[in-house]
Amino acid sequence: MKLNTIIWKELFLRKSQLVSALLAVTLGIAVIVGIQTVAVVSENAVKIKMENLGANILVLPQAASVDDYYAADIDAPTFPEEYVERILNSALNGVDNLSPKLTRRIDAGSSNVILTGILPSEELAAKPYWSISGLSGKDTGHVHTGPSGIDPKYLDPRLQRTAIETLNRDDVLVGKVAAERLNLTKGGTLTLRDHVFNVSGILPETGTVDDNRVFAHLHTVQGILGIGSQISCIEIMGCCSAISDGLLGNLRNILPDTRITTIGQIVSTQIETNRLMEQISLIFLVIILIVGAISIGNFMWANVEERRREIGAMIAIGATQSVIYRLFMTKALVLGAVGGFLGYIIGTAGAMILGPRLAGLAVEPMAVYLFFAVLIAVLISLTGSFIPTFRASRLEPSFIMQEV
Amino acid sequence: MINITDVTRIYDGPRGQVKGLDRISISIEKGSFVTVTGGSGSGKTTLLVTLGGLLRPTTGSVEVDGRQLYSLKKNQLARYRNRKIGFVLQTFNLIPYLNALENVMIPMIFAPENGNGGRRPRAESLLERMGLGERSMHLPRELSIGQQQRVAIARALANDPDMILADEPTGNLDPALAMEILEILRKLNEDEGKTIIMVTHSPMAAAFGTHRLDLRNGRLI
Ligand SMILES: Nc1ncnc2c1ncn2[C@@H]1O[C@H](COP(=O)(O)OP(=O)(O)O)[C@@H](O)[C@H]1O
Ligand SMILES: [Mg+2]
Repeated sequence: MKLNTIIWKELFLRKSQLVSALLAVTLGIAVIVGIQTVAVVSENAVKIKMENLGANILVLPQAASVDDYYAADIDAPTFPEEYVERILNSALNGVDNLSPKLTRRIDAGSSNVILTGILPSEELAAKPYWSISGLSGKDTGHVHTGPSGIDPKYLDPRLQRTAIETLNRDDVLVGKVAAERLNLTKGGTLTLRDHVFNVSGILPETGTVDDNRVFAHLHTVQGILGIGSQISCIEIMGCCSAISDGLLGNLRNILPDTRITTIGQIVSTQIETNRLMEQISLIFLVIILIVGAISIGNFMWANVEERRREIGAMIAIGATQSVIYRLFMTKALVLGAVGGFLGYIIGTAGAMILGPRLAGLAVEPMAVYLFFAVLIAVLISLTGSFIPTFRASRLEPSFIMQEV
Repeated sequence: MINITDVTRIYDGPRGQVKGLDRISISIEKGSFVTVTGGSGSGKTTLLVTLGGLLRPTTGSVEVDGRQLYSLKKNQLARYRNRKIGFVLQTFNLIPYLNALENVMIPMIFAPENGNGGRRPRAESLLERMGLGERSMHLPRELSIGQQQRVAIARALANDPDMILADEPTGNLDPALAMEILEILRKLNEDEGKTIIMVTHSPMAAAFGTHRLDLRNGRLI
């Protein structure tokens, strides 16, 4: 037997007390790890978007929220589809491609889907005033890889917004995640609001909210939703220099009652959000350092109190002060490590579950945070346990000789 | 050989100062069996913990084998208690979540120079000697009080000490069990030459001693 045997056996004596002592540290670490994990992914996403999508323009109704570029059109208010033609008629310089959309979350039997109505590019192109640039992209079956084939500007292929050339009135294209969830395969059928669609293709995974979308013909979607000739956004691929040359201003002149933003503007609010998250996690860090240390210190104090006789007996038997320190500090170390580990697991799991829902980001576990989580939790635990341990080591052993 | 010279111990109690021991001088030969009697509060326990290196006297000297016990540093005192002394207390003070075998091994952990390997067989043989071979895996609460006291004696013997300090070791036991414990102590004294200092209330127990000390108000009478 070694000293560790004693520590180990004692540790599991009062499990519920143990859990409550760890709660503050574990939850605190979980929140920080969660926020940080999302923040890192979000920062990377911002960076890639900045680099790649700087020229994208989104036309939204005045009242729409633009927290997230990819999800801005979901359940947004609407404006008339006729706006598309206004843009086309005005023959603005620098508009490469545009794509009207109407998006609603609707019930699909067992679960919700995000139904997005789109106009296939051939129908847009058929309009006489539409000067086609780059609509002759490489054909890959159902899905076109962007308005001008594979655009070399897109460093991360997942971020390409794909344009769809042909889409029959009763066809749907289903995002990867939605397809898995609804158990759909190419050639199957999907019934939405009593309308039977043919699944004409499953879209490749993008890692964005698009994976959860079902794309159908705009006019069919307007029909089944009962939303006349309304749309919730127009996405415009503008050429890079055109934006600075006044494309945005011209668009605002044509469409005065809309909200016109670029990805850059949206990204800057996202950067602010990230900064805010960072501040929150810093404040949280300070709070859990204090609350966690107090909570563990409190537990250890009670532990020392109820083990006074035991400690006294050990000192009488020959335990030195350093043995008493090892006894309690090892316990604190184990508690901290367990608390940090659990916090990391909970925080990472939380980020992975909530990240895609709240931020539309696919979140991956960050292994380095395990190291920091355990390190911080151990430091908290050791700090909180120091005073109780000091007290234990100073116990006068002679009191144990007195009768109880 | 232990020499106590002019030892006084003053406690600062809630109602002023109390003299636990009052100018006591005693010599105890190696291998003797000393019984300490006296009324409650007469200073018996104070004398025992002073001898055991647990309580520094207010004044006076405690000399063990020619060395001043309380000039030792804290760690050296801990070492002295661990190697040279076995404590047997009225309330056993076994660690509740460790089984009998583990309780006996505790003092061995604090003497790392003896190595880890021999701990278990030695603890087993000590429990065997106390007639507890079958009970080594039992927790203290699963043992009768007589058995618990024998575990405590086995623990006191863990590092083969020169001296056993027992504070009313039979105080909680019925006469038959008390007799058993006293016989064990006598054998340790006679067969192994261990010095035994035993505090007791009972005249029957006191009769086991080769030397007797009687205390009243912290003074020898
Ligand atoms: N820690 C203490 N604080 C104050 N007074 C004490 C303390 N320990 C013992 N005393 C007092 O010292 C005297 C001797 O105590 P003790 O040695 O325990 O006697 P005994 O063991 O013979 O009953 C008693 O009057 C007791 O009240
Ligand atoms: Mg006493």
